[in-house]
Amino acid sequence: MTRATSGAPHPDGIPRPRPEQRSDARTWAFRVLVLGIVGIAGAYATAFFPPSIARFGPWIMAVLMPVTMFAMMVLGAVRTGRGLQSLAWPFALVLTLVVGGFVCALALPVETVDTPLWFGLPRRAAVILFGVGLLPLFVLPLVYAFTFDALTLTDDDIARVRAARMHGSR
Amino acid sequence: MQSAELPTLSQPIIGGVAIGYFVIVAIIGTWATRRTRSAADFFVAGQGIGLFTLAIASMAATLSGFAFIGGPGLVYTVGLGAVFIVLPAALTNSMGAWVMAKRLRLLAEVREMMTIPDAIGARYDSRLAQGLSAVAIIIAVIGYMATNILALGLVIDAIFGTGLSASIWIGTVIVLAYSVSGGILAGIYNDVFQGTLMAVASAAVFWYALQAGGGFAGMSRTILATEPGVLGPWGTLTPLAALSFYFVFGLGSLGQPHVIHKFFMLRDPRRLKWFPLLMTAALFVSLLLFIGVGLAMKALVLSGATPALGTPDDATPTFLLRFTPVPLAALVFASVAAAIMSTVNSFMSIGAAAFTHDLPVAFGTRMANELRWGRIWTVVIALVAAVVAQASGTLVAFLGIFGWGLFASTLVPALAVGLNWQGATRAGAVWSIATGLVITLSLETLAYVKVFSFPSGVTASAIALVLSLLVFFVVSRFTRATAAATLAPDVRAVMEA
Repeated sequence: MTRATSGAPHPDGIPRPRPEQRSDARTWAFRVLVLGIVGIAGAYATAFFPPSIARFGPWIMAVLMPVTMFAMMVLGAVRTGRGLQSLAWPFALVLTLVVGGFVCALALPVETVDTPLWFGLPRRAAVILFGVGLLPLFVLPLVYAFTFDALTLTDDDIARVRAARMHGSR
Repeated sequence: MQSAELPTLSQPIIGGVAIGYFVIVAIIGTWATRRTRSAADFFVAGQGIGLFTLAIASMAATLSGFAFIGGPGLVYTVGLGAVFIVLPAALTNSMGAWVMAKRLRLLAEVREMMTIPDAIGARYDSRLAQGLSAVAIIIAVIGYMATNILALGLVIDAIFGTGLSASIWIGTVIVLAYSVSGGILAGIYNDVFQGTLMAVASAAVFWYALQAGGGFAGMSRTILATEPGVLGPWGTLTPLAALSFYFVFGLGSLGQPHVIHKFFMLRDPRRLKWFPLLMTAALFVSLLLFIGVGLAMKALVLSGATPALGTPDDATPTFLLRFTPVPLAALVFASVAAAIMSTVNSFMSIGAAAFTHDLPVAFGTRMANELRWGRIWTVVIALVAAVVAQASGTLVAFLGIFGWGLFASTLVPALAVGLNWQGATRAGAVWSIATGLVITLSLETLAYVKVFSFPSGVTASAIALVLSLLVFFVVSRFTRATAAATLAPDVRAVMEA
């Protein structure tokens, strides 16, 4: 498979995408990653304050932690010169599932003896185990496999990297 | 990781299966030894393994004895909060594939890659960064190995009644025998056997757990009637504590060298296509026991079907001896040994590589015969870990606790972020690795000697990971003018692929 975005060789002899084609998705993912880590630091910091402030910590974590992990994933997945393309919807779906699951677990009422069971578990436990743990389990691996040839690693990529080896490390 | 004695398991069938298991391990080790002719064979399996081998070996290295003994015990004690340790598996395998697998494997196309510090050294053109990451790996490896060798000693003692001290040495010698001769090649192919055993045993035990507990609904009704908090989404932990598990074990998975260095070993980078799916499936099946046995034992104890446990770590052995056929119990105990041995072998390999390869490179030299020195350092590390494992259970548990956090805080910023962000600088990498090292060691030590305690949900590992990431971003920002200069053209090509 070939890639249409290859640019002209640079002075070091290795062809790479033109600067104007560089992806904004990568820049945004990096910014979200940095802000996410700052937010997570804030969530931990709330634990050192009185309960009126500490109660916000889990909510911040529930939202920012999955967002940060997905930012990391986008940073790895997005190609130079391209956006997320067909990865955008699966990523959005799984991120929604994980954030939604955590938020539901924080928001829904505490279970009692009479709590109705969902698939054999109390409602909040089912949301976490099945919604956060099980549902996304095979979505991302399948997306990875089905987009691999087009978006992750092409024969052109390997040829370009091997050409870089021939040009030496400097 | 368990540190208390397990119930006695000395039955002929269990002992026989255990001996059979050790014989198979020895046969694989002997076969691999004949194929180990160079340092590359010893440390990266000659870069010749296939997809199935990579996936199963990665799964086996990821799961230690904790998944079979300590984990179910933790579920029994704190309920569903413990599940947050394994819950990130829904994301981590795909995240690791996108963030790490392709980049590391392609790095091995352009440079000689034997270790994770090699990758850091290449990324930043920095011997200091490579040396510092090697130091972090050595410290974490000794602690991790000591806990795993102690756990292996406990299992051998429970099966054969040889006494804990002697069992620790027996376990060490067995792992050492195949690790020192066949290196990672022996480890990898033993991992495939051990990983398969773990998956089969876990699936079978999960079925028995559901039967014994009356299915998820039966277990839920029993537990809700007495201790509803156990089945809350966070168990008996605070929400922040459970979510903190997810953060440290999720993002931290990108910095576990005993797993990610296996990407160097894959024969063809195009085979990565199905890696996340295969790894996720294997991990999912192998973790069924973790959740099933913990919940089943809680329900069985609360319903009076079985007496209360002496210690939480008795959950799996007690369940197996009371509620499964003896041959299956025997298979699971062999699997526990397998889980521990596969992890120990991986640690031996990366620890020996750090001494043999990374530290000399950091000082600007290379060992004349890396294969021979690799074997020597494998023996030294194993002996040190075995001696440490003979110390008090509390000390060993302490050493094991910070292993994951130390790997995460020292390697995630410089490696996982650094391989995907061209703005990262050498100074950012060095300062973040140093921050992870110092913060993890100092906070864990101060907490161990009870100088202070953290609020619930805050851990030294989490603080170290967050701080090392922030230091990495800030220092890289202030030294951004040097970013391009530290990025070699071939490494840049890997990062742009």
